[in-house]
Amino acid sequence: MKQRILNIIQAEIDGENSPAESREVKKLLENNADAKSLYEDLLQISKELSSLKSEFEIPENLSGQIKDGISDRSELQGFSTNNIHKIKKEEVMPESNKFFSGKKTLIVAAAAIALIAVLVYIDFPQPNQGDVAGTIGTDVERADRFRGAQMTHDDISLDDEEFQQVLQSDIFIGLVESGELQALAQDESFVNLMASPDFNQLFASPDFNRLIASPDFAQLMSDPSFNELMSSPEFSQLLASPEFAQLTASPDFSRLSASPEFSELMASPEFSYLTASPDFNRLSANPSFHELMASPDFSRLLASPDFNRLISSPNFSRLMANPDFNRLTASPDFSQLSASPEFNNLMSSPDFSNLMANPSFNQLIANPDFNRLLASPDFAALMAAPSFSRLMASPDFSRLSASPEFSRLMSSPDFSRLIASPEFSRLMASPNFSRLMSSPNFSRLLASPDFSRLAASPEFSRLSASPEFNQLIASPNFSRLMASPSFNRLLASPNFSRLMASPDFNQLMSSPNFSRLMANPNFHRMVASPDFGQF
Amino acid sequence: MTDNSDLELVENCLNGNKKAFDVLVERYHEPMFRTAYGIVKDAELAKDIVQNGFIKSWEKLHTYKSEYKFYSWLYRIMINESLNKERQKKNHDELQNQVVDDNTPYQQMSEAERKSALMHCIDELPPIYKVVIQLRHFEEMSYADISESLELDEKTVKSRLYTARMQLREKFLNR
Repeated sequence: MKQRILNIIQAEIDGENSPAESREVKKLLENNADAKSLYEDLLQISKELSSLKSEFEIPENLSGQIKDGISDRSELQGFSTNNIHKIKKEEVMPESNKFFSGKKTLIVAAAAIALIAVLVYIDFPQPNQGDVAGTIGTDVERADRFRGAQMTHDDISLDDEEFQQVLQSDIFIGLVESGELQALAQDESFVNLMASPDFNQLFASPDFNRLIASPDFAQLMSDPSFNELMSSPEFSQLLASPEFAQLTASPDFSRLSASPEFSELMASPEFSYLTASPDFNRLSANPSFHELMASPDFSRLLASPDFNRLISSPNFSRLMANPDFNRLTASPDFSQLSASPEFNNLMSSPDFSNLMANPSFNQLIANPDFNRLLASPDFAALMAAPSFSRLMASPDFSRLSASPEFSRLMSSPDFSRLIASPEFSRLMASPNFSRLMSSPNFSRLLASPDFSRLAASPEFSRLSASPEFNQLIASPNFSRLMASPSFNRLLASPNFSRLMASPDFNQLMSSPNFSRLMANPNFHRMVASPDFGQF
Repeated sequence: MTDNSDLELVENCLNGNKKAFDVLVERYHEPMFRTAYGIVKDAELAKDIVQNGFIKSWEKLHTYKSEYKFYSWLYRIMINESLNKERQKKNHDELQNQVVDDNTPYQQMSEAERKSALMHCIDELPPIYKVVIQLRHFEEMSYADISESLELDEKTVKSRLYTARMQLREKFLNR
């Protein structure tokens, strides 16, 4: 039977025929037994199907629950449909670019998000920074010895308003008390990473500091879709997957992220428009697209020399309208990466597919803040920094991103709230913070084994989680002390450094007698009395 | 406000009137639930999908283009959500083989048995066919509306509908 005949028979059942077509079907059914049999079968199955409609029971108060969900969401995010950035239709990339650039973009975006997330964590101000004296509070059993390089007034001034605001915010205290931060601080991979020279070099690099101080970075951190993605299980699973670790540790990945072509693409407006376009979102949310990406055949195609020759060919380049994209895909670094087994393993891993299918991921890559950050010269400079590549390739980084403690912290609501808070943004953007991060003394301190031991010690965890410690750092008296010039002068003085490093001082701090004195309520009453102040 | 057209309600909502969106929820939550349930076959999951789908559509309302029907756009969101969930479910769960292995002739089945067997046959269809059956028979949508909701041309809709019905005929009527 001809296709047209099949179509009009079906359309007759569906009531979609014109009167002329209906007449034609009627005639056909009278003269053609096959057509009649088909019509009857289709009619019967259609009737059976339509009778099923009544089988669906709608849950009670479903509409009320939907409305409540929307109200909750708007209160949580301060969301209004009025203030959404509208994407102009003409900003969308040409159709011809969508497929290939879409695929690569997803990889790049996934890697970029992961990197940013990790960077956000690792430059998170640990409570240790203000914990120079180390023996405040009644439940301290003994003070740990602190032999790292002493920071000076040139590095950081504790009266920085930004530090104060972060340390005293409820969100920060909530995070410290939540336990995830402590668990991570005790993780071996975290300690090793903190002590690695790559980590310290990256922190000291001006590129890194420019990036975290940029308004683009601050805006992204406070974005709800970014936070939603960070706390999604899909993101944690991807970070913890061996495929992700292998890819980021591969030399091909390092070479590509450091290449000028990559930076140029990231900074191009075409890249931003593409990831922000609804078409790209629709494609990336399409299940068939995920199936294709996860299929072994697709991986084999990507790895084949023919495919790489094709994407490096001048004809292919001419086909693609975006000059930045072409430069990148034609680079040997790109070819090497897309042919590497690590890349292909990641592409076909279920973790990667799950992340791609996550609505938060799609929201994030469509987000103008995120795209502005990717397009910023600071981001490009960071990606090109050799210390960044080395850090990504280090086994410590892989171990950390795969550790359950890291996943738990990333998905904790306190962490999300903290990085979305204005206090955190202000801290990241403050010049003092950048100065601290890039100071050689700070790097030396982070790299010192003593510092790592202290951060990982149970005593430190107990102290930073204790209500007394948190009450103290939130108290106005503590702020006043931190802000006083005399205190800062004292910290910066060589005499103070010598005292802190002396064995006698450390012995005293560790002695049980000293701990007992510190815990004695009479001692506290005495210190708080006006007479003591006068004295 | 309940008499306003979809487009008027969308415009009101974009102007800051959240109540207008509530009307759209009232208007469409039942067909959306049926569609989601038809794909995932799990009432709780379907409820989540519909809830998330409405939240998503509310957040993305500015991307809705008025040249399309609002409900086609909404269906597209729900169907994509449902297919994603269905796929994730399949990844995690072992596909349970619930085939009714008796060979009861179609004519001898009770009405309840027939409905259950037909539901099972629909479940076995690939998602791209399952969706067109849902929209045509449970939502009574025209070819044009299905085509808009799924972003397919009408020719493809007709051909998928035909293939789906033929597969159901094979599985159900000839059992």
